[in-house]
Amino acid sequence: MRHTSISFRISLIVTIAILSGIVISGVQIWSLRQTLYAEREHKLRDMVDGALKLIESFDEKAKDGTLPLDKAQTDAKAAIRALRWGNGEYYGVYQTDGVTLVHANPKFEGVNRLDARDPNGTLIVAKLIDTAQKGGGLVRYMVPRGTNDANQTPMSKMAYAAPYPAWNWVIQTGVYIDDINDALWRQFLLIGSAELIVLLITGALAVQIARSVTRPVKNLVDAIGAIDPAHPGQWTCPPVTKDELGQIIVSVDGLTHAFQSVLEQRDQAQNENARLGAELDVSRRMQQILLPSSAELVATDGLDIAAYMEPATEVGGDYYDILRHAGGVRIGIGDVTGHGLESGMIMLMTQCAMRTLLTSKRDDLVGEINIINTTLYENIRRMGCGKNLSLALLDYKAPPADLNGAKGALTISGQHEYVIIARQDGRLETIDTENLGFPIGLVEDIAAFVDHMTMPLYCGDVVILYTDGITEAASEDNRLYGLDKLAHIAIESRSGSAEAIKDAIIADVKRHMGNAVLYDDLTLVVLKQL
Amino acid sequence: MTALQGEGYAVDYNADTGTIRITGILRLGGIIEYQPISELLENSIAAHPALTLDLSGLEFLNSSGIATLSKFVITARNHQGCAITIRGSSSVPWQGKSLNNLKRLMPDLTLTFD
Repeated sequence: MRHTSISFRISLIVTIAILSGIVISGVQIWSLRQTLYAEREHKLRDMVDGALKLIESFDEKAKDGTLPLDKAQTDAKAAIRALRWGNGEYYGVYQTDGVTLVHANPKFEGVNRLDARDPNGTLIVAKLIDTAQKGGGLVRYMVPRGTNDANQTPMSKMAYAAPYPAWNWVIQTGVYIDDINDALWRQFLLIGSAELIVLLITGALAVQIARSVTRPVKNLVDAIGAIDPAHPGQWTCPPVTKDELGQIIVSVDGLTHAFQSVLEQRDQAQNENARLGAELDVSRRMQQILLPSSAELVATDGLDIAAYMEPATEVGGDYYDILRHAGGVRIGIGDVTGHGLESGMIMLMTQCAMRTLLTSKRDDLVGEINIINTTLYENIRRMGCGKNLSLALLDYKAPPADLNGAKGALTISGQHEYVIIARQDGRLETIDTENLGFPIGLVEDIAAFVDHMTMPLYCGDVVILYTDGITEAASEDNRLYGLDKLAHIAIESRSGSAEAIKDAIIADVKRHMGNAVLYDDLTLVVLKQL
Repeated sequence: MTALQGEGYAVDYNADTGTIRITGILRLGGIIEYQPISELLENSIAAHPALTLDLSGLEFLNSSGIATLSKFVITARNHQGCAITIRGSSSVPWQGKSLNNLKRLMPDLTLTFD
């Protein structure tokens, strides 16, 4: 059934309904016919029984001697001849040898009509006598109306024949049954036309219903077939009807829009990932592009320098620079808040401002920090990102004459992390830079908060500069590396070269981290007084 | 009463005591997104010269937020006769250095750590 069309299924229902109607009507007509025939038979039997009683009454008179037998039989025939019932129906009486004793047509009386046939060839009298002699029963034949007038059309007649054995007589009476057929025919026409009307109405309805189902289904199937996989939400939604099909259309519509939004989300995510990936590449390149080359770090002027930078997965905003100038070495180290493209830009601006100021030969760290702040503050305000950075500037020079025995002098300005000095003799100094500056780019004027200090460096002294990526590097169990461990490894490894000290510190930090993820850039600058 | 709130944070303002309490994690994108908080702070200092800013429940504040607080402190510094108290928590890492810097912007500011 599932493999047949909906129209076929609907027409099947209609066909079955009509066939059932026809069968039921047939049964009704058949049952009506049986009833009518049964009524006729019953009537005929009653009438014949009555006539038999009449004959019997004459027989009684012959038996008890009231009448002689032939007189009794003559009277009986006369009496029966006169009998009429129903619509002028009469009786026929025959001798068992075939001679007609009583008949409505006087010409037949006294005649042996055993060979009388109806148009169908039925031997009428013979069959009546035969049926009667078997105990009585119905006989059907064709005979013209009236008194068997041969000029009239023969009609169907049903007769009941019964014997009167004592006299070797057979008595019958019959009735035309063409009216039964007429009645049945009328009934058939009535039911038939009713059936025809029902057939037409249900047929028309079935066609309408089939169309109302199949057409929208076909439209829906066509619309679904036409959906563009790249833009399912743009499908041509058929009109929403108020039936089950309407619910399907609403569901399909919902589904296509859900698909559409999933596709859009996927595209957006891909675009966003591509954008972020590109931004990350640019940021990483920005951070690396202006770092001092290893050639610039080669020891001169009595200072051994090593530097290390490792960007985190999401590049942070670490910055360091080492610039040589006529009077010594300028060192910058800083950390822009956050990460990404804007942090990278701020880093580049800081580097450029710092080199510009160095080139201008101001030779004034505090003033330079102030200028860098104001410059960056204005640019960051344009960017609207609210970022700022910690920045320490250091300047290494030959010591003034009053620093007895010192090989170099390191001036520090700007707020950043601690500056760790591991003295050659094992003493540790940690310099808090909080009061030497202020976050760069946060407020317009930080002149009031910037200060400087100068530290003498003796032979073998080591200076460690770092960003918080080092001290806040987390181990697998989330312990931070910390200032103490950094200072300790600096003291431990102070006798090596700047490169060796740097390697020792980085190795120690990595050991601490184990397999933990690097969340922030690691930056380390090691200076060693030769 | 809650004056402002967003994903992960809430700003409560008690007009009777002149207390603004910021709690949660604030990582709004850029100075512009901090504008409503900025306006609330500046309107409150106008209404309450003695204002308490309770940040002890503020677990994280991004750089734009720190910039917003710095601007507010500078504005407050320029107001005649106002007294600001900032309450921080020593157990929240970002607050130590940042709140001290605020204090440096406005030496009259009272800074307390729970």
